[in-house]
Amino acid sequence: MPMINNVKRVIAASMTMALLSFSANAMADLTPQLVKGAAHLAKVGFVPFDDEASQIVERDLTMSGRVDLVPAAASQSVDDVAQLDLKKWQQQGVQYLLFASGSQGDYQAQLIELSNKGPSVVFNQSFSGSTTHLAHQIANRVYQALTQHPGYFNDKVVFVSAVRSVGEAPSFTLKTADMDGLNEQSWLQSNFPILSPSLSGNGDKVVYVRFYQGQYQLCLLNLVNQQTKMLLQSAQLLDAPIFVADNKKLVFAWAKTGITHLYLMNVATKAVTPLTKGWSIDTAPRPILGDNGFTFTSNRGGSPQVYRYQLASGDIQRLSFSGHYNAEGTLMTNQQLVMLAQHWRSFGVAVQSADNSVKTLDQSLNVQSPSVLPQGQLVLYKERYANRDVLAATSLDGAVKWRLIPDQGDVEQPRGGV
Amino acid sequence: MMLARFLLLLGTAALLSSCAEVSAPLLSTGNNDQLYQVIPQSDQGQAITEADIAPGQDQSYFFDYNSAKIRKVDLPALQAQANYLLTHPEATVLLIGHTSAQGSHAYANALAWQRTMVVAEQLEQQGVNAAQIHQVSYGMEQPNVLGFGPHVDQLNQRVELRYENKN
Repeated sequence: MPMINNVKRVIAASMTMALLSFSANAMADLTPQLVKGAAHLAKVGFVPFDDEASQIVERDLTMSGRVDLVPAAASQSVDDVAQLDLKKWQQQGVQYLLFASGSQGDYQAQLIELSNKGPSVVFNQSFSGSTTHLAHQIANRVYQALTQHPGYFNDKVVFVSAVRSVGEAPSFTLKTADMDGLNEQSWLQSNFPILSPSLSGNGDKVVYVRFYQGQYQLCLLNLVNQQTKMLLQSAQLLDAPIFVADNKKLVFAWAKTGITHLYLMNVATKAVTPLTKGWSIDTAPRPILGDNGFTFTSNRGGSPQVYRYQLASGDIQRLSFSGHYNAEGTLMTNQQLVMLAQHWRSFGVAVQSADNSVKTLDQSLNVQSPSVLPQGQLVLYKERYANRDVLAATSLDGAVKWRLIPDQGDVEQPRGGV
Repeated sequence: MMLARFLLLLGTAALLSSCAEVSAPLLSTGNNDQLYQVIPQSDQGQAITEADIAPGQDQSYFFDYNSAKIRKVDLPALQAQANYLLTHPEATVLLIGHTSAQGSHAYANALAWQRTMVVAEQLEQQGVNAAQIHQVSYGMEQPNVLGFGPHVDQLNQRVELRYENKN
């Protein structure tokens, strides 16, 4: 039975040294911290509406690193856009003005561009649903209008929270949260590691592996009805499942023959087909954005490298060539390969371009588990920060970086999804 | 307890000269992390012995970087464990595979599993019944020594042999 946190979070923005931190109240589990914002921020005036929804919109847009949000003074709060003194906003250097009206659960939001030619409406749209959902939708719409890329604040992240204390058994908890750290929910707690949780393409299911009574169990968790199904059980290692083929199939790693290879499962029938064989390790499948195929990590060349598997033909093609250790690659539609790469004694997020040139995106301490959000602009990963493992994200253009910092334990194996 | 195990391991772990990696300065956690024990430079490269000949006792076998090959120095100890298991057919062992705490989680799980496989195969080649051997991969989840650097990694790249039942 999942433990569900329904904690109303209040956001307080504050500047601390070079870092812009903004945190929810003391009950919050994941606190966002903007590490680096874009050099040129869109200056957006913001007239608060509903308290909680406004705070979430403010939290999300600040976290995006693409917006310089200018909240209105309390005295400027108005009920109708016609009451706004647009010239006064423009004199403050505000380029856009975000205004919403309505009642709880149903809002009309407008983004107005302020220029010397006069105000023009960028969008004027109604939003409905739960407070958090509609606040994320409004933030997404503003993000998309300003960056031309889809927003990600209604996306989910799945991860394992690990609590380790000297002399005590470690505790692992499977968790999900919204991409801004809100709505954190716990689904499974174990003293054994929980392996490689991954979200379905539509974000309503999580597939993961747990170790229970001497057996590995490949499990499917439905986030909507909160039911868990065990799809496969084995005394041999099961690991790294991902959804492919429109969420109808899974690719996963299984040491059925002693060495870890990749297998395909039809979720409806649970029929399993081997995909790879041989004497090398094949594991860590990752989806190819916009494609039904996947990449995987194999040491068939002597050291871990990223390969591509064509589901239709079974053809395998090596993708990474630079360096001794590349793993967990996500292949983008523009053929960029985002992967975990070793550099000297450390690991970072690396991006290999179509011409095979490689640049390091972020090489913080002990970086692990990179994955690219479905919107294709942000890389999620785990890094070591302030004595714990935290969730971090960097934009592919390198301009923006933020963290989500847990109030307890380490964040492990984060994976994003819709 | 962690510190005691750490100090014990310093005296028993294999020398790193055969490790394929290039030696590099230890990384500092930079955060005064109390959980992380970073081995001082002056303590690196201690004298080495193989795993003790201790049949019927829990012990660990260490592996080179990215390797699932048993070191020759550990073969006598494994032979002694095999002999014990042969003469105690009711005894069972759990082989727990581990890797260093960096890199890919999934690759670490697979490599740690392969390490348990080669130890299991070594025992079975000596006649031990496969039903006496259980395996689990912890990958990078339960390091023996917390911290960063090749010497820390070396102490974590291991298979623990634990007796579940010696009756």
